[in-house]
Amino acid sequence: MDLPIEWVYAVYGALGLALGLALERGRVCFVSAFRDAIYFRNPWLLNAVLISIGASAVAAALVSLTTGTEPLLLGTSWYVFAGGLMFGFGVALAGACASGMVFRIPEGYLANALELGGFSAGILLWAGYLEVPLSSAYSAPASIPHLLGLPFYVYALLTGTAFAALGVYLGRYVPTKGGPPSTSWTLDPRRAWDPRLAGLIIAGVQVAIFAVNPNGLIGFTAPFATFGAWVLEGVSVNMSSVPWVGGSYLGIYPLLVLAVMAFVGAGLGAHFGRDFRVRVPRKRRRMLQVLFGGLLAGLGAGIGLGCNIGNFYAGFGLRMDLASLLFAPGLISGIYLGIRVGSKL
Amino acid sequence: MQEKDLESARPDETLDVQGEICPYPQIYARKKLESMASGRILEVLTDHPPAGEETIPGYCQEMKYPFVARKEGPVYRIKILKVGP
Repeated sequence: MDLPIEWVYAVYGALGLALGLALERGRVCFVSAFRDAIYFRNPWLLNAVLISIGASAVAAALVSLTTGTEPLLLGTSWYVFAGGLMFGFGVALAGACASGMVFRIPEGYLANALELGGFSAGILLWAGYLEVPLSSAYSAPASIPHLLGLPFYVYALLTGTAFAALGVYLGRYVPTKGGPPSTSWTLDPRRAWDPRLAGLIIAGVQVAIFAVNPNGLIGFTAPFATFGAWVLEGVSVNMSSVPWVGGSYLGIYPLLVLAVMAFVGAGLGAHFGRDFRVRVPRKRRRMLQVLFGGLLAGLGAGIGLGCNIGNFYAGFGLRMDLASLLFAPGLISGIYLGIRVGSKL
Repeated sequence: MQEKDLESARPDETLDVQGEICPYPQIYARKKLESMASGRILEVLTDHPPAGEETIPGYCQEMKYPFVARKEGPVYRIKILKVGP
């Protein structure tokens, strides 16, 4: 679908607003989803994330079937596993993944704002010093359905159904009695939304982006790099010669519009839900911990070619490429290790 | 003691974890409860929504600890009765 760029920005802006609102009202943080399932044996969020991935894959299959388009794939290397491990460890230490930062910062979490600073520094360090040396290590993009000899839409329908079924099954283990206020299946912004409803909206945003632009997906790594690059340019550091960033990510681009509007949407959610409050951890060492965690997460997102959204959520819910299969075990192992270390701090 | 009686009961100990990030409100609440004797009441104050809405209530339900929770502005006040070992 070829739209004028102004229309693309308008569509991405509206989708970003919906994305931020859904993330904040549904409390959808991927590191929380895995951590709470593993550490607290409570899959209240993991079941929603799995349902969301499943819904995205099924809807992407239908879009592909009707339009004949297939999503953009990533290259593959064991570095993707290493990047996932580093990213997972970092976000578990810092307390929020990329999507978590998008809604926790507008809720007033100063620690997660610091984490974003660390993340931006990490991704810029990768861009400046590692992107070129490592680039030859990644193979050409590899699609799992094509490796298996299946049409994209058949594979997406099968895996999407499996993810959604697993999510529904895990729902049996979600505690039935929560705290106040109880979550709601309505879109009332004054109430917390059921995470499964928020997950379905996020899936809708992802597939709408795919329908508008087959090369598009939700991702926060590039926008977070842009934020950092703008800050450095503000203090007279020339970023235009830095590989990757200087080439594409110093100006305005659709994914940046999506990310900025996601922050706005999350801010609106926090406002209507009366959840905004400046939150500062009493233990000052926590600030150092989140800064370091953010830095590791940023480096990991560069080496792993994406964050939890771009390379895990979109990997399984849209792209179906080999990179996501390598990133996922790294991410989950990293989160597990990060929890073990972080719980002692 | 029933959950309705917890509303008016005076807590024996208070754990204030306002300002903390994930997952520390849950971790600190769990450690505190583990160190308390059966029959004691803990009040947890947190401003972290997933802790107030999901993980601390979920932990109480798993451990069969009676609890009452209410939200006052952005702060969750959760009173928990430690039972069992």
